[in-house]
Amino acid sequence: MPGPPYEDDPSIRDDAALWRIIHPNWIVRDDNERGWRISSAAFYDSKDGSPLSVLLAEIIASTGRTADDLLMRFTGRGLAAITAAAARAHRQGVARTPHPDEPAHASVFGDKTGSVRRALAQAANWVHFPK
Amino acid sequence: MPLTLNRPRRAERLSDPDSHPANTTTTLPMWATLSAGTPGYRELRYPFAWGDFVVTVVGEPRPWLTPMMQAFGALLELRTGWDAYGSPPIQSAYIESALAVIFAVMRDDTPAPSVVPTSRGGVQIEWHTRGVDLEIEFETPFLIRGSFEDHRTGQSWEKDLSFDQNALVQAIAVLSQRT
Repeated sequence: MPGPPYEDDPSIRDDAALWRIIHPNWIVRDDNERGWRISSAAFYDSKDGSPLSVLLAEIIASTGRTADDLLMRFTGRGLAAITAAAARAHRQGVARTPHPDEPAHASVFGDKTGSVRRALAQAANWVHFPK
Repeated sequence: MPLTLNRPRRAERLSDPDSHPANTTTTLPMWATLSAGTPGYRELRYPFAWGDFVVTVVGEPRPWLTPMMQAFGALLELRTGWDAYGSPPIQSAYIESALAVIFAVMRDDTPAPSVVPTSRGGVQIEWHTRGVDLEIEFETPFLIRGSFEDHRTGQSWEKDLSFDQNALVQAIAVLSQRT
């Protein structure tokens, strides 16, 4: 659901890690870099209009969980991180949007043009490459 | 390489005799295709969960055809929630639109693209090779956007390709001619 108007949350520091679960189909060959890259397709907002879902790594840690714990529910997926600063640098805001079953849930909101999605994909670093 | 696509048959298009279990099929029979009986033409079938893609080719299929069709078929097998964020399955209308564009612009020597699902149930096609980054985003089956970046010349663009795909044709030409 689109939800209420979102406001960038200053309590989320610029160096906060925002984790995004990455489906293997979002990993594409990049011969220009002689490796693999995360497709910009991994950074669309949802079809229902709700903004890009991420997880605040610091909340995951504060609840005693690790990336491995998180991925146990999502076999074959990987985990990538962008910083809040990288999102904000591309005209995005970051808001805490906890879910009943996931207190670390947050949203990256703002217009996600192709260039913004590509920038977010290029800013992403692997936390856990899919096995 | 002339190519045609025979869409998977839909139940609502079947006549009563066609609906008899002995006559059901997921694709048009050979007699119903324009290429029927034409020497040199042959059908290649790429099965997926609920049908086949059928591509008619003359001569040998180009190297990009099989990996690309298999990738499209794999997208149609993704189920609701495939991305861990509750995304819908990939809609066949996006696949049809993407295939129509791809078959219109691909050349014999074009490298195979990556075919990627989106969280919106759509499709994105991309190349990152030969010094070029080229992406085609199907935001809806009819709203098509493209981006091109040539790292060797510095040329780049982002365009709406919904009605005019000349820029895409030129980008594919650059990609195809490079080694």
